[in-house]
Amino acid sequence: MKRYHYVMTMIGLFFLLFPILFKNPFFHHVVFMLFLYAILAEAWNVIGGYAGQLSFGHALYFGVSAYISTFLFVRFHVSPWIGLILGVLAAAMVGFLVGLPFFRLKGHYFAIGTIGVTEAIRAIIKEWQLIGGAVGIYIPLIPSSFVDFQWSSRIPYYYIGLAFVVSAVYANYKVENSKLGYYLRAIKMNESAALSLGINPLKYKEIAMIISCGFTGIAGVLYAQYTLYVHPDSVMAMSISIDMAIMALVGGAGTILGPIIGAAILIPLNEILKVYIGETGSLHIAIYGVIVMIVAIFQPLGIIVYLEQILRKPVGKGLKE
Amino acid sequence: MDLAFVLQVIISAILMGGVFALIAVGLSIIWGVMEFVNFAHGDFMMLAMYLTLGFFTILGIVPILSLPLTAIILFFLGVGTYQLLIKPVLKGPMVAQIVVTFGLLLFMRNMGLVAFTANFRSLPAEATSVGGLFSGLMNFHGAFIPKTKLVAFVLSLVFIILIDQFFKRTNTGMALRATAQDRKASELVGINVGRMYQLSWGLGVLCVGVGGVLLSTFHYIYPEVGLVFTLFSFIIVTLGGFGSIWGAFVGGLVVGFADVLGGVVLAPAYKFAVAFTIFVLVLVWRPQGLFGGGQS
Repeated sequence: MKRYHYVMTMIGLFFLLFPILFKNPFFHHVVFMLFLYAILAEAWNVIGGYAGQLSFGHALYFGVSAYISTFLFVRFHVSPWIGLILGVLAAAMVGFLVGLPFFRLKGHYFAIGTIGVTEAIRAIIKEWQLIGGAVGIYIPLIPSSFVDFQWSSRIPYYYIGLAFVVSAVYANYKVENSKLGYYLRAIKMNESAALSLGINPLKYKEIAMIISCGFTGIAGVLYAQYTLYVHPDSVMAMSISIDMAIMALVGGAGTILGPIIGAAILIPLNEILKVYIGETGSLHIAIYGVIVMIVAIFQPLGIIVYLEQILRKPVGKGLKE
Repeated sequence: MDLAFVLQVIISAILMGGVFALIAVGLSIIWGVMEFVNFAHGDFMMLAMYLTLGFFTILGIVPILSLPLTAIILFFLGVGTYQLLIKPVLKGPMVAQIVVTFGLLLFMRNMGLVAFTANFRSLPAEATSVGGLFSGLMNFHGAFIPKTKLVAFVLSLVFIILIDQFFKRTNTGMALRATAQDRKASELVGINVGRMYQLSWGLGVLCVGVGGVLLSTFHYIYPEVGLVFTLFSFIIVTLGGFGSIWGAFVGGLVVGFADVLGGVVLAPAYKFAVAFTIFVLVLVWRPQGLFGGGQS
């Protein structure tokens, strides 16, 4: 146990000092993307891992919040920090509304429904001229300012990302070790049995959904402010929904560290393959697909199982189905 | 809105719906026999479309003649996918079953982008007209119907009837249906369930492949064409009830109407939103599909 804490402290210190130790902006970019997807994978983990509701449409909540903060900033010059709060609230609200009809559906039906609703809304937003339609919205380049959530250096984004990763991990820790976590695991294992014990599945799934969509919304605003551009095909792309789910699943859904491990393996791999193979080619995503298939066949519970074998102790409560 | 226009909409919807139905039947067969959803469904269709294009541009074989070749290739591709990817995950958790076809989707779509580039292509007119026989439009009481679409619809319908008869009349078809109903009992009476699963993948991918060949005669071909059709297939199969072939046909017609009406009355971008709204209403109101039939 002591060694475990020691290792964790070292990892934490490493990431705190990383921008000081390494000056290469490309490294800062890769680690920022890692943070972004770590937040997303942890967010997805609450609903997909602990509650076992396999949503493949989380790009919707990412996009809703990115659009709200960007629209308010560009049109009314509202600080993106306020946009962040409003965006997160809106993402959680949309998640709640999507959950109302869809949480009655099980397994594949739920997965299909969540993909469909996101794709349908993406198609509508592409036609909605008020918020940029198929052109998207550009955030103008302005001098670095905290209030405007914009810096010319990548380092402030890095630390904001790190802070949100820590908060997402903390939220997962709280979920795992609370009554909510037990209820969610009960619902995941057997919903009718959970119902017969007096757990209201809809209520707890909705709570998990609100937490999950809220954190997805945080990542959405962070991404919009980092790239200074929102477009239906960038912030609501199906690839975002799939990536966040796959990172959590490849790493080990239903554990605190699993989604981080998934992001830590897949994001650097993705960024490095992009550099070597080229941004325009899609070969890196194809290779990524092969890795996903291999993990699904050989270690469906996620890579974290190997960590469990090395540490010789259980790493998470929600791992087994 | 005059009569010819209404007729035009109705006929277009029916013609589209028939081809949609055949594509969806492939998904329905696999789901019906083994309760497995293939998220890479549309990507097999994409592959069949490029095969058709390749057969014509490289070897000069017109789609109507390359259809059996493509069908055979896709059948073995389905069997191979089952052996290589699906069989190993069947004993694993449901998560693995969903994730593995997502991995396949990412692989196929992006290999498609690498191999064929993102350009939109289409079959040249001389490929689909077969010596002028099926070229041009047919005037039906003021509604204009492209003959290629009519041919695609008729062939889809013939194919759906053949598949339906195969399931109803042959021993293998009956064994497949028995597996769908109760796999333990089927094993007890001597049906090799593993072989049936394999066959359902072969047939399912074959159906979507034939649908892809027929679609390619009047639809753009591009590496990302699969996703919309995967989603349409989900909607159709949900409407008709998972595992029901004629349910899928009716579902195909409903989506055909949503597609054409959404495109005509609203804007092309809303087509999917219209189809999807129907889908959500049906899912919430009758999760077993409009006509029951499928297993829960």
